[in-house]
Amino acid sequence: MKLKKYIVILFGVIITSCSLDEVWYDEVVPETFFKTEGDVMAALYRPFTHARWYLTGNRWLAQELSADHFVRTTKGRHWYDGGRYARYQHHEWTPDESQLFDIWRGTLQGVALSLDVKQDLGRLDYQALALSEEDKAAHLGQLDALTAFFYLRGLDFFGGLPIFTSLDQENVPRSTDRETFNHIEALLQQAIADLPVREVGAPQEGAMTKGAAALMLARLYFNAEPYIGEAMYEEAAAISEAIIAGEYGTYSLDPEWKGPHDFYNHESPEIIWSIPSEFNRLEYTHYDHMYHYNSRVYFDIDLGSNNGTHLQPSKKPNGDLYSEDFRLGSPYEKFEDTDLRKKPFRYLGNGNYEGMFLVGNQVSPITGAQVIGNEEYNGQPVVFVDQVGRFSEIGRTYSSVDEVPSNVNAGEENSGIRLVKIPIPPAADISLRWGADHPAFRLAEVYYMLAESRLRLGNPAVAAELINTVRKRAFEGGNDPNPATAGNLDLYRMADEWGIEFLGEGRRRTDLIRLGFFTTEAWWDHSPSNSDHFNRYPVPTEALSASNVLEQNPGY
Amino acid sequence: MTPAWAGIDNLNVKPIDDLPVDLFLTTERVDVTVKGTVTDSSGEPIPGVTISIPGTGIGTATDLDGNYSLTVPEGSSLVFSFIGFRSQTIEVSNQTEINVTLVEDVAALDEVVVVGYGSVTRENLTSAVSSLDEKDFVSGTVSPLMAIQGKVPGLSIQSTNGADPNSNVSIQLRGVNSVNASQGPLIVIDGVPGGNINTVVREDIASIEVLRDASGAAIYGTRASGGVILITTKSALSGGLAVSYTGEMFAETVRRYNEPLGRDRFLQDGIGDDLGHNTDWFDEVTNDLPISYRNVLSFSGGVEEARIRATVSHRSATGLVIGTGRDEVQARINTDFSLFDGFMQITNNLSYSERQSDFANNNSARDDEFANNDVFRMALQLNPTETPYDPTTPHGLNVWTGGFDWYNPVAEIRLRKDQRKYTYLLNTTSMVLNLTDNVSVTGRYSIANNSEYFTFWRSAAHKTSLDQGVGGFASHNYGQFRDNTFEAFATYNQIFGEHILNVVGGYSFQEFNRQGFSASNSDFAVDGIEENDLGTGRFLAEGRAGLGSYRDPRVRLMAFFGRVNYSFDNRYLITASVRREGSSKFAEANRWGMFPAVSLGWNIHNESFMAGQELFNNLKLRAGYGETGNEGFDPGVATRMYGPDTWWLMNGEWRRTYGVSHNQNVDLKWETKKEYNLGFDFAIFNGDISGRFDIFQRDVDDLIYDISVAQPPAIHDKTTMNVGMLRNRGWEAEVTWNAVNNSNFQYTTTLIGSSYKSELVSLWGSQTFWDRKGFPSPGTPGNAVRLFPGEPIGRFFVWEHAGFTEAGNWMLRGADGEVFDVTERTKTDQDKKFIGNAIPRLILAWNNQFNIGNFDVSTYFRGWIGHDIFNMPNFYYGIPLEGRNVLVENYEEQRHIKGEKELSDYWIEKGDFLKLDVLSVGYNFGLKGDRASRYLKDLRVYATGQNLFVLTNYSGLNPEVNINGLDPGFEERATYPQTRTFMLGVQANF
Repeated sequence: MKLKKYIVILFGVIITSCSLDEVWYDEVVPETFFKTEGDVMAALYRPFTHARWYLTGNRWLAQELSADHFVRTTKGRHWYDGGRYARYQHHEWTPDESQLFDIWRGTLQGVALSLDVKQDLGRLDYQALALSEEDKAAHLGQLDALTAFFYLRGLDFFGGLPIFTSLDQENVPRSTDRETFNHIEALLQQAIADLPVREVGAPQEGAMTKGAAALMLARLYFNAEPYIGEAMYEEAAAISEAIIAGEYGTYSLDPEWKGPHDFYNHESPEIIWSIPSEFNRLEYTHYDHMYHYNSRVYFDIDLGSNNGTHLQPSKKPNGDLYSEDFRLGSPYEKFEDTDLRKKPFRYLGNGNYEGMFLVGNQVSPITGAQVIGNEEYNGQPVVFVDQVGRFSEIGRTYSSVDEVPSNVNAGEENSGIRLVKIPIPPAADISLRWGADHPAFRLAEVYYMLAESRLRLGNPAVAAELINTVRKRAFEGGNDPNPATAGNLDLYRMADEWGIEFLGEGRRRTDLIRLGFFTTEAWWDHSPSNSDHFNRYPVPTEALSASNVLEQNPGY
Repeated sequence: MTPAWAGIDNLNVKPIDDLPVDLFLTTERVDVTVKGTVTDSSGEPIPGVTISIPGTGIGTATDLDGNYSLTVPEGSSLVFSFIGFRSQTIEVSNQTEINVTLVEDVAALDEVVVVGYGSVTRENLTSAVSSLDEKDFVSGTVSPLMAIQGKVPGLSIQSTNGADPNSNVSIQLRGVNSVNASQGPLIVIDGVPGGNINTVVREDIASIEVLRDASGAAIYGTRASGGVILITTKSALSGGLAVSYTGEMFAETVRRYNEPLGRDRFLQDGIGDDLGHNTDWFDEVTNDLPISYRNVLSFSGGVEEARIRATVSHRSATGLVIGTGRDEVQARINTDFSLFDGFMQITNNLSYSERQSDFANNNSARDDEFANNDVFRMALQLNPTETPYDPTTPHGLNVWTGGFDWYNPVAEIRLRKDQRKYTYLLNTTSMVLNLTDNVSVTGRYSIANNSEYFTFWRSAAHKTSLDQGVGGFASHNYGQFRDNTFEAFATYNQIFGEHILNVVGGYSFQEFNRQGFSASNSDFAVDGIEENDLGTGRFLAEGRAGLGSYRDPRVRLMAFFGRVNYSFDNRYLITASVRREGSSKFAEANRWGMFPAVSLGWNIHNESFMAGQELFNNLKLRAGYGETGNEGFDPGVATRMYGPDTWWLMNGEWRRTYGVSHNQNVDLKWETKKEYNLGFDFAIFNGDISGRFDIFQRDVDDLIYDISVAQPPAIHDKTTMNVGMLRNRGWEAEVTWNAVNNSNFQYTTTLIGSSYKSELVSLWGSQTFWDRKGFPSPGTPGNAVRLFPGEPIGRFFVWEHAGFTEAGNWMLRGADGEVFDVTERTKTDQDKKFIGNAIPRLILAWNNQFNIGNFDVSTYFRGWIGHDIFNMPNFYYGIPLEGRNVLVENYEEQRHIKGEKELSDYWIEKGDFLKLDVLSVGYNFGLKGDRASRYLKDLRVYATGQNLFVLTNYSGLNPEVNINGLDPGFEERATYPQTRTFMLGVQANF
């Protein structure tokens, strides 16, 4: 009897013990997440923060370091990094490059995030949240446009991609280039229909509008030749003209060259899509890999920088210009001497500044302090030169400057001109810091797409006109010493114009491929491969390991 | 000496037929009164030894000090017997004092073995269990786990970082048993599954049992795939107060380190610039002869109804790396109460420990594993003509800025502080009700409360601060772990003639909670405040300071279990168990798993046909099958969750975005290990030679792992999935020989060997292979391990080296066997091959124990045969690159190599070795009888040398590289030096 009693007690204890349900504390399940409009917005913009990340980092490096503007030289014991930057420069990349997997993964993750939110919002009862069906269509349109954005970049990097329209699909193989192209086109056309136009005068916040979708469609047609082997410059021209004419919203070129880039660029009429940035919120800090460890002294603000990337040199170690050897490259010298952008970056106060380069002896325009080196020029002034070479070894390794080689392995801490396209204020105006939004799409691009299309379609005069419209704002009083003309405008000049206006904006590789120069032209430390397969990056090994249906690009 | 049964909460010792049960009987037939002391081979008194005259009912037992007194008829034979020791028979003539030294019986059949929710005698055991007590512990070790290194066949125990006092211990049983992180065995402390080993001091351990095969481990169900280690702490014995003290002092010397070229050679060969100094960087970053010590004091006593044992210990360790160390205090109180004439027994074990560790890691590597090693990498690669000091700065250190791969390690350590405080609390309360002679019920509740408190400070003068132009940085990180365990089980024991039945059934419930917060700030006005006033930094005012908190999902485990042991005539044995366990980590439909086991034993020596033979004292065949599970992955997989991401501007307002935080997998189910074990135990020549042998095969099915998945449909790059199947096969053997057994000289030798192979049998889904072991820069060497279906684990996936060109460029052999110069053709993944074998074909441990008079000497050797090692230090520092200094070791033969290092089998070497792991000498003062002082009962001094020499052809630091996990066989490039540790100890009982 006693035994029974204890057994009863024991089972009593067992039964009172508890459920095996998972209990969550610092995250939320979607079923209980959507309560207000704010929650809808919070979910809607999650894929946009991915797009923000996607626009910089390895995607930027793959676009710029493989082309003729930028290089990340090995500087003594810094930045060899396994030779990956040299492989970019020499077009020797392999499917094993971890940064390529980062690009592949990032592209398709963008698609996945967009589709996921689209599914959640698509199922959501907007009326219950006091929102309209138009709101819903506009939200879904934004996600279509963003999906197209990722697919468009992916097509550019890798060619055809696995096409997903829902996350219920499994193990999808790569579509052909043309199928991918068609899918992007369809998404963008739907988005153009669903999206609202940008309100006149409204600041840019980071949402997609009709204009952004139209610009992407123009980009798609503009690059159709490399993408699907079929030139569509007529279509690109037509949609570019419509954008300029205001059919997709009111935009106009900024009267100042720095308008699309400065601290207040969210108000620039030229911006079609930008990523919002603000000190202590989202910070558009991307160019800080270009500054010397001690460049903070120049800017007079605390700043971590790692002295990696800089412009490819315009001059040989002995001072001769590379422009005599190569038609591409020499990015700094491609700027006219009177170009306002060619000035050193100098903060003038009240959010105003001039120039966009760090060049020459680095004395802070704010404090007068000298920037001092700590590697090859330890204790000596840092002087950025438009050259690459181990000048510090003259007298030891090299007997004269004529012997100094110039290549991706021969950097020093002062090698190369540095770009400051994202303005940096001094500590006194710290609240302005990272105030400049990231201008992802701007109207100048539409002008240049139209110009190149017109040029290719046999109308160089119209093309020159379009280019000069953009160019002249970079000169005092609009006095352009070297305007484009029907006579001087060819694809090489076109390449230069793209380079000047969009220096460092992460598009150079795409432009060189379209212009046909990427695998055929030589520049500074680059000999042409004459192998067309380098126009596409390989599908990374790690992606192949995760999916047994993926096919590698030819040539890899 | 502590009896083997101390601390066992549920004793079911088989009655010993030939011994009188009534121990305290005295008779009127007074003839001779004999008295004496019974000790073990090291001179320790043994309490509780039975002294009897068989068949007469006369007998007694020794007291706490091993003393006895008994009156017996003259000429009778006294039998001295005790569990775990070989019985001795001594004829009484006219002696009045008979002192006996009992010799441990390693193959003792009546030894009680703890098996989880109970215990059985070794004779009735049907599964592969290794049982160790204090005697078996490796001398000179501190960690209870390192104390059994090599002692259990098939159990691989390795320090993750040499002799570093802050090193972790990695454990693996019978090869890799899972592909995710939770590969180690389940540690059960005083019955609490998942107990933290940091709550136990080795002096408190009564016994460690390792359940090696799944038939024994299955009673623990889901977390037992890596085997089970049962740790039983000591309980107090009744009697007067006993005090014991252990004091140990350790000193460490460098035996071998990654030595770079000296200044002259460095300059002569033009490897780097002459900066005018002459620095031995290794010397700069290490302490000369770091000294550590530990003191352990324990008290025990009480009456039969209430007993208490308390231990307090302190350990202070100075690391070899400057600025590193560990300071630790541990306390334990074990109490035992017996009420209502033994009807109720209550035990409460409380332990608390507190530890502070000082790390020397570079700020970029906050990883425990190699936390202190990055300074060795710097010491190796830095220019010897650079100096760590600069008298012109206030701190006197040469801080150079810029870059991340080069820093002054001395300045790094002096100008920052990385302290981690840990506390561990474990309290276990058990109540046993002995309802009848056959039935008892046990309830047990345990609470574990562990915390981590990390503080970090970086001076304004530190490199990173200078690089960023920020006046210093400080952070605090706090994490709390709270686990509750409740278990209840009933035990039924019955003997019906030749049938012995033992039944256990019960219930287990565990809950795990974890939460924490972190805060950081930068740019402090005053450097000297260090991390002690976080609020004063400038970043907080600017809204740039860091703040965060988290609380992990609640995890619960619930289980019902049962086990039946049945023995017929001590000849035929069967054990069957089952555990049904549910975990909150799975979706509802996949929550519960069933883990059955069955094992059989045949005591051949008890068969009638064996009666006439003299050879075998013991011969038993065992066969077992069992299933265990694994749920060692992060919770939340089954639930789709929204978590925060970064900011976005919405209608003019900055708000955080929210999105799916991880990939969901509702189909995830238990990973299950199915294991077959066949073995035999034997003892021959009167038990002088005994041993065990086991072979096993196990299939780990439905492997759970975070694998790269295609995105889309996945949103994030990794999903926790059931991905494939893994198979292990191997054998284990152990032989002990009591070679000499005289009263003043004994020699025992034990040889343990094991071998296993692991193979990835299949991969599921769209996965085709996994590349692992990505080599860090400089260079982008790629991955050196590929897990591929059908390939054994432990092969290297690298290119095949085919010589060098005259210019010193690498030549590799391509996929088609063609040899190419890497500067002329790009190598591809298709050219890679599976090469070598990182898993030793044979793992050996050889222990020799000598007792000569009052001296005891033991030598402990370990060796591995037939494994290959990828020598990463040589790979990274064997040829000059970018002004990095070079290893002396292979410099001459490799200086002709001009091309960038290639990830090839050139760097793979044979790793066979024989190591004298421990040499230990002790002296016992033998304070017995007349020599015993009134207070001091026993005194022993001992000295130990660890890692004294290694015989090997391997050119790197240590051929005993990590062989646990999925990437075995790599000697890491930043490796803790090989050191010898010398220890002096004293042990006293009062």
